[in-house]
Amino acid sequence: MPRFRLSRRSLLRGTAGFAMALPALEIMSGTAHAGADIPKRYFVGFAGTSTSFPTFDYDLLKPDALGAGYDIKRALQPIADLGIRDEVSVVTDLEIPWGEEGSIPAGGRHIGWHAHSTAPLISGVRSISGSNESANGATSEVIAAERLGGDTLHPFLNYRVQAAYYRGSNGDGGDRGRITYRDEGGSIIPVDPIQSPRLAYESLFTGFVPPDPADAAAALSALRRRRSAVDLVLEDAQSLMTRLGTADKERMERHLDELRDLERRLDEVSAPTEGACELLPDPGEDPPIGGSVENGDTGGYESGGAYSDEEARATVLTDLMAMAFTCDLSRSGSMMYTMAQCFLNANPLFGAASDIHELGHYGVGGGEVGLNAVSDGVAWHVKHWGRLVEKLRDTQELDGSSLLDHTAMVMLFEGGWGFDPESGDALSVHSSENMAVLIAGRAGGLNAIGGQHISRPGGHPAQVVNSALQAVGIDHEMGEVSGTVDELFG
Amino acid sequence: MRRALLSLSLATIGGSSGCYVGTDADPSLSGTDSNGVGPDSDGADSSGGTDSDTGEPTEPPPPEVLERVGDAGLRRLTAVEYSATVRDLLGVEVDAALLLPEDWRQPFDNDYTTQNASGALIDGAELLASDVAELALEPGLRDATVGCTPAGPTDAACFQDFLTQFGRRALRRPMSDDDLARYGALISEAEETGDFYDAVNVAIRALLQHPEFLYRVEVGTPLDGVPDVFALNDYEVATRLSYLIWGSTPNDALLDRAEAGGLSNPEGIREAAEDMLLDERARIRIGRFHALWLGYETLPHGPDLSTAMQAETQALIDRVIFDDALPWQDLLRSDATYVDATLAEHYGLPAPTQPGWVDYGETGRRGLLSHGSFLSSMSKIDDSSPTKRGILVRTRMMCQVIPPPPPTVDVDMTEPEEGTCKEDFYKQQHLNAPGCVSCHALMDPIGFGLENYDHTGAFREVENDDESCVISGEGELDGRAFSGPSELSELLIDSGALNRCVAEQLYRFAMGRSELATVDDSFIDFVVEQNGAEGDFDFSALMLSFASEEAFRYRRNETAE
Repeated sequence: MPRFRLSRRSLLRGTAGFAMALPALEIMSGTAHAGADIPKRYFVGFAGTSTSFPTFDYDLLKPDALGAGYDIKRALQPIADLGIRDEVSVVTDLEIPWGEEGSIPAGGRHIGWHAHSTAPLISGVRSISGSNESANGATSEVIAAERLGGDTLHPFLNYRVQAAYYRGSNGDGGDRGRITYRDEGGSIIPVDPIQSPRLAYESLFTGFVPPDPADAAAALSALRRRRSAVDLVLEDAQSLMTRLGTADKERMERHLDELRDLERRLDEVSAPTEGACELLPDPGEDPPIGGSVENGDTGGYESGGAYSDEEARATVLTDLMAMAFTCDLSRSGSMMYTMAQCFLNANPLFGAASDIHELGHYGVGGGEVGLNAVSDGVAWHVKHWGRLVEKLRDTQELDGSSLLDHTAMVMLFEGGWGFDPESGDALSVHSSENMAVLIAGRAGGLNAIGGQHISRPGGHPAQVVNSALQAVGIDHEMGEVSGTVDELFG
Repeated sequence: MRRALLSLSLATIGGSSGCYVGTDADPSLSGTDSNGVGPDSDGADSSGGTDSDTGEPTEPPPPEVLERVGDAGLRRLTAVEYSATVRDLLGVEVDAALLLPEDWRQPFDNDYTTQNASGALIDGAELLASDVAELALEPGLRDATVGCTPAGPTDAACFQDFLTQFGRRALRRPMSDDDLARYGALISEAEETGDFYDAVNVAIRALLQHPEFLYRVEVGTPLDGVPDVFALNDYEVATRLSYLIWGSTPNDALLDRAEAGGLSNPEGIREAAEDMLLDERARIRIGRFHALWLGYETLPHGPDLSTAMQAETQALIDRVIFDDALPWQDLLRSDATYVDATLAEHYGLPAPTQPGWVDYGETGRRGLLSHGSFLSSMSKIDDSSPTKRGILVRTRMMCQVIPPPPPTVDVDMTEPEEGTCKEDFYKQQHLNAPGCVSCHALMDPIGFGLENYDHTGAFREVENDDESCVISGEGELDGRAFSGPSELSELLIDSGALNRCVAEQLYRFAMGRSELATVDDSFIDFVVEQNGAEGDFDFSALMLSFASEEAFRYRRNETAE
């Protein structure tokens, strides 16, 4: 039985920083606020995996039946387990086009497989070349934040669950570790995610003051100290600016902007928490970051390498994202559950002694065993994304509606299955054919008739993103990809 | 001014080979690094002398020195540098990598052109500063942190003493009167709470979020008639030196040298650098340079094996470069290696009872190229890759650039079919194919010569337990045959490419920039000339040449493309 809880706006703007008077919040007192002004929320998740297994001409994600009440197979099992099928639509048979360098089509990818579908997937803009994996347009959570953010504490939150790349000598994620980019006057700038649950927690709940008077006094004096330090640093940064050359000035300007943002957040002291908006328990120290495991080293996977307790990280970060929306601390968020070409150990997640990437390459076996393992990998992502759907559904807004009624959220997968133009294989997992996107929420008439399975042969996954943006009232087309999936609204 | 990395090196290896040159040779390859560094205009900042904090222009160095002055931009401390810096400042241990954004490896982790300030950085730095302040004021460390004993909670004199001392070390320059006044006002925090150390806490937090702590800021003094080049002041030189040699912040002794004007000439700098090389931190730093350069900073093995391999290579570096002051080339020639029982068994060497030095004997191994650390680098996911090992040798050790494969090639099709041996497969696929051979002939034959060592560095006679695929172990580098790491090492030493490449890689690490320009080449060439382009050289001497080269005391504003 869902536990309805009350969402609320909790922030008070302290005019002089810490002049803390905490009046009873009238906006919480009932109907005065009902209806129109409930803010919209937007969320995008990313999974660094394809959805099937070599030689198979199907996957265990796509339902057989179209429309509402679709059947659920292994890769979407968490949707059934969480009881959220009515909230989630599945759009299948999507495709990202491809081309060789110099002739990559609009919204397309370089034919080289790994990590080249990410850029068009998250930005709608074609990738540049076989040696460049970064996005070339702003991404949807940034676009949504510009329109929805208002005066929220965090215009957007971008988290990453997978703590490290886990592969190769000196491997780092590089562009494979990011899905957030912003457009600064035509320059596309990557935005680092927060990957530390502890940092995400501290950053999100900066202004929360406990109800106990002694604790509150301590929290306020801690805030005052932080503010004093940041004030000094802002002065320092500003005075430094005048002495820098052009390029350095630009770097320091970006630093200063972010510092000002921290200052602004330190000024905003939250009201005492009520209803569903609450200070979550401190997650404590971050789990240590695990080392690499050599492929095929079953013992290495069994003993827990290539793993930094992503299960716990995903849980904490999801709880924080949900509470950020509930408390109206942010209205736009993204979660990179796993990096492109994900080398996260699957063994602690669902007992397959391999990494997620290798599951698609006979890591624990071929045939049905392989397909099931890949599907379990997809399902792990769906479980955590679905937990957020469930939490938002079960949180009540001021007018009695569910928070999910004002939300649109999508889940993107790095690949599908089918033709691999690089190898010429007809049935490969290195393919951007047969891709699927999940979309939940009921903002703007989205999923008005409940979750459906919609087949859209040849459609682009970013069209689902366009639809989610439209649902939250943003008329924007991602990069070079136009069009929406209108059936989602009918 | 800036050249594409690719073009020079293509000339180096491509001249007679006709190796494929595809569309990747366009500048978009290097353009991927331009994130965050917007187009810069020469004219834009030339007005008003905004690049100087000291105003009065100084005499420029001779033109040949100016031609060797490389671009230098703001460099954020890497996570590893951050941890080392607060350890040296306050004796506090934090793992900055948990909270700071990930540093890219290209292969070095300090390329400032990949750094973009983000909310994650600002929040991570704030939380780290708060952690460090807490730890530094724990009872055991507090007195050392503050340096004086306050007479009472509002002892402004003691607070000023602390700010003067700690501020200088944190910011790597003296606190100005204005700094002292502004930070001194934090004593109000102590007045508020009645606890002197609350004011210290806030001061530490602020100083550790100060841009001149988080970034290495170089401003310098303008030069007469040379608009884009600046002379570094002594403190800026001290910081360059300490992060180059120690990977950490200058200590009081080095700052004292700067204060006394001892770092404004090459002799003074050399003297300081010589002393710094005696410090334990230099070993760690130079070891780390090799680990990032050759790709074994992290290894894809279990913790025991990985740690043992890294310890093996570090022990060799310590012995050759520091303890025995042997030529750097002895890293490639050593006939003994430092192993524990696990690693000895892995290599098939006699297992020592304690970790220690074991002779290679007739095993065919010699030097760093036979270490598991090197042989694990750039492997495929579950096997060695002759191609990738060839790339490792060509690009990292010879500083040549091999173009990426033509766009139509499937680089994942590298698995031989059942019944085909790997070496035969590579030869068919790469060396007999017209579109492939020109480039692969540069790479694969190098890897063939190392095939008797698998992707973990273990010796093998046959491919992956397949008795029908006996490994020839016969390789070739630029027309000269070799077999095994020992003979490859000799060829590399004789190739004439190695010494300059070591200097080039060290330069990238020192400057925090992967992409090099003509002025950078001039610097590297000059240093290489001093140490010998061929034959043995001493790594410490190379470091000293870097540090004491006249151009090292100057910086160039980044220029427009």
